[in-house]
Amino acid sequence: MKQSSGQSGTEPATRQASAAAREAGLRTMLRIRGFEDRLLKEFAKGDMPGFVHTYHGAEPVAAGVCAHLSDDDIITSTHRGHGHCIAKGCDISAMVAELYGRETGLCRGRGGSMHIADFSRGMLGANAIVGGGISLAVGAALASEVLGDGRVAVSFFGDGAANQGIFHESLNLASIWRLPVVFVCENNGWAESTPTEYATSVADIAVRAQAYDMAGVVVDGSDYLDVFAQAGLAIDRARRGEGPTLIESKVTRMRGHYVGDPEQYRSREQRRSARKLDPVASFAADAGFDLEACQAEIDRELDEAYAAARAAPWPDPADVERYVLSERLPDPRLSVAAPTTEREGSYVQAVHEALAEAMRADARVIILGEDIAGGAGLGPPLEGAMGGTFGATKGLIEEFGSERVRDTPISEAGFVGAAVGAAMAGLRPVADIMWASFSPYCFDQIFNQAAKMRYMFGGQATVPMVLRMAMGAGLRAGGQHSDTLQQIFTSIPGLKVVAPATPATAKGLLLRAIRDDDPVVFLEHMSLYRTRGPLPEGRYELPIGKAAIERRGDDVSLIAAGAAVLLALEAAERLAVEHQVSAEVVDLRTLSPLDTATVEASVRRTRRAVVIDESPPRCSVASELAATISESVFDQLRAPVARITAANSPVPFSPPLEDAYLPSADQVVDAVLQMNRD
Amino acid sequence: MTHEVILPKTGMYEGSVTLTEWLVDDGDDVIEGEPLFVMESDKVEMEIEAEASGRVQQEAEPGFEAPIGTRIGVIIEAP
Repeated sequence: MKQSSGQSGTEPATRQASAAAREAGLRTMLRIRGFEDRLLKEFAKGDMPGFVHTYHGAEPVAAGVCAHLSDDDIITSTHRGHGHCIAKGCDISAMVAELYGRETGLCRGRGGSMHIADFSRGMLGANAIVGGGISLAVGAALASEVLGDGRVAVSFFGDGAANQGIFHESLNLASIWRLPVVFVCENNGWAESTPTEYATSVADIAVRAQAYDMAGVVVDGSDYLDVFAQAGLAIDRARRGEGPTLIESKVTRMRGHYVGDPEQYRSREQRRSARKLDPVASFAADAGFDLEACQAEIDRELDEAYAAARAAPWPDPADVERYVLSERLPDPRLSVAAPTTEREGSYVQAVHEALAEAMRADARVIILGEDIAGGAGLGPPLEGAMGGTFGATKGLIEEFGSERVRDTPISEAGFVGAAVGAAMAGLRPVADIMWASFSPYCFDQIFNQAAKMRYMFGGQATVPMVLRMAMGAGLRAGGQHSDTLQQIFTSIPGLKVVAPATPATAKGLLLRAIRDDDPVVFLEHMSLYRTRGPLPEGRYELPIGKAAIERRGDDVSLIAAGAAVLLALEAAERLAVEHQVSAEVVDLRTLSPLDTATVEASVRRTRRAVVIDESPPRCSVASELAATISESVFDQLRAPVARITAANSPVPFSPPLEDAYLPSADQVVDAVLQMNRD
Repeated sequence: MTHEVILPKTGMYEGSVTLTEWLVDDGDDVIEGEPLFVMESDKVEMEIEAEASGRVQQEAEPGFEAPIGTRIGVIIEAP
């Protein structure tokens, strides 16, 4: 062990393992090794789907770290995650069944080896995106901090992950917030086939802790006692509220990257010598208990697990779409429609009121994002004076404090990943991405993490989070501040997407989104923030996935969401006044799930449909609706479905170009008149 | 005790594989973990190690192509 940077304190210099702890550690290592050795043999037979990565050589790390954790503490893991599962107490039989893709597996066969999880043991999942679990652990630690429940989060990851941006963003966030998280880098010398010394700028990854002002320690990952001692100190520090630690465990990758890896990048001699650097064998040499009996017990357990897994039922193919979204129905007592009101308010006020009402009602609701308070750490009157780029979060820090209203660094991947982890660990975070155009920075966290967690883990995960994004063109903000990106988000299974058009619907839908058990992308069109309309007081909710008829009509259905609804209403008015055409306006409100029933019922009556969408035309919400209408109402259509969309270009800056880019009421009126002529 | 020697699954590939070369002669002894034969899987040649120690009894010739999991010999452990 060497300390690359340290923090002063009164902690003991070491935390030695007792004889009982040594024995328990060795038994855990033997179970891991037994599991992986058996896997090599069984995988070879060819009846296990996919591919697997084994943990040979790193056993002391999982065992030595998890020895200090309870079921309530949380770990996140990697594609090489069997060791972490076993050390955290996952059931071996259910693990084997998962590797075979069976319904009896830990994740009901939806995850497999690379996405194995057991939430009952605080094992929040192997993560096959390199570095993907790091920010989730930061989020779990944030949940622990906000809920004050004393849990510690540990993220295991490899040396390759230490070169991902998410590693750096996560360490920075954990450090500035002093979160109870321990980062455990298992440096096995290889990122698949790339040597660490080639890919990594420093000899010891632990020195990167200095950049984030946290303790960084190198341990001999082949030495259980060293890992145990240093992990114990780090976890104790985290539990005492003294912040995060980066532990770099130097281990040997005894085998290939995956089972069957021909390892062309290592010579035969190198492969052989790696096999001989066996930390389990060396630790077992002075076991002090009956090794053979222990081994026999593990073999028996594995015999039973493999026999049971091979005989276990497959998931029902009819359930292929099960676990994409939560199956919990909204509580009808809390779900009430918007009352009618005389009161007027702006869209931005509606968003603000929804956030405040939700935070008052539920202490698990936190909001985080860039500049949502402004002047973070400066104290009043400067801190909180800004209240978000559009003022939607103004005043919230005064009422709820900086614990629940968290300004973040400009670090979208880091804080959105943290929001995902916090949601999985018990909070209901609302992450503010400021502009939708910035969301590609955290696309992994949205696409691979938030959206897939429930499904991949067979329904174990609940990710109740909201991603607020300002979006849309027309504000002369140019190419990188004006996208809607709604066509991207609506194409992702596991996300809900809401795009309200009015203050009243924005408030009711945001309140509902925060109480929803699935990740909801909440799109606020920038041109709507200053618009005013009826705004009921208090707490009310509108259902997600339900469209509404905004204006009744008989001759054509104008279908839109967000700001395009106002365009549709303008076109409908002109059609009525100037052309005696009666247009119906359908406000979708939600883009995913799409309320196709309301759309189809409207079009069945009017027999003509114009879909208005402010995104570029390819693979858009407009395309989806046009296809849906064509499939279901084709025989009753008097004219082909018309799509009015943005131009197929990035959003231009120059005003005449931007105006040409956007759909216009003129285009809608022309499309309707064209239909009536034909 | 007798251990079956099979053409193993390696990585994702699930098609048929070809025994290219025995690295231990028929009837010779092998030690667990030593290279036993070479096979071609998905256009990649790789050495496969013995899973047990003992006398090798070959049951297939180089060039033998078969599905993953097919037996190509046994290792007979010394009693």
